[in-house]
Amino acid sequence: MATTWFSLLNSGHATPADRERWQIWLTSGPESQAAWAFVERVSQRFAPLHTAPTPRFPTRRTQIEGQPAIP
Amino acid sequence: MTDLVARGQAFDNDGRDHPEARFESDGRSSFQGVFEHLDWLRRRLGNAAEAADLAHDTFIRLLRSPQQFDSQPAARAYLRVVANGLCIDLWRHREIERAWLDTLAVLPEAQAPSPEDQHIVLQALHEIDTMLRSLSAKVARAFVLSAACGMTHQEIAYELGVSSRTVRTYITQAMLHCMRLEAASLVGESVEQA
Repeated sequence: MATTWFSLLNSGHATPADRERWQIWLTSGPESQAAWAFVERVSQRFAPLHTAPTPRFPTRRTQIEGQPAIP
Repeated sequence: MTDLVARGQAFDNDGRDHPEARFESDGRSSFQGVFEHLDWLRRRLGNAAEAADLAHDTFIRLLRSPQQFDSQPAARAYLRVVANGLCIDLWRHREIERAWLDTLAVLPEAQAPSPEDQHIVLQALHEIDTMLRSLSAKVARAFVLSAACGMTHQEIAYELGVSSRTVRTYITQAMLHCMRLEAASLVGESVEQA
């Protein structure tokens, strides 16, 4: 369930209603909180990359546009 | 069964002795097979210091999980497989560093991160690589594009040439895999602390 929430919340299509439902799930008991803590641990590993230029290997998009993709 | 096993088990059963002392008193010639691999590693890596590091890692791996061998050649074959795996790790390590340096090279100077930040990023990249390496390339890629680059499922779907629904499956699968690794490492930490 935690993985489904992670996927939905990061899909780019999550609505405010989805976030509300996620909050309800999160506060529904210790099990969901424990599971979400693991989701956050995993997410934290990516945190240093959020502010840094991400190493990119050639992608479909860069091949099409012929320009290196730099965020 | 060769001496290699006997030594590994002895260390395992009697942690009071320092391993080096035990090698010395029991005759370190029984580890000759491992030292012979230094040459082989050096030839593969072209670097004596890295070969020595890998030989050391091979030792540690053997001591942690003693193996049963019927013969000296079987023991050698095992060591070679372990060392080869460690070589691949090192190559992956270098590949990541190269990709990172290539990325920095095309950045305008003003945008270049500080050396400290570069170190933190490189460290994170290696950790992430270790975490995702047993996943299929597309699953790992989808997860990185989402978690590190913040791309939407639709963007990732376009990038990978799959449906958004498949991206959702990939990301869910990758997250579950990583959560299990995190849980396993937590168990490992508490065992070490006990």
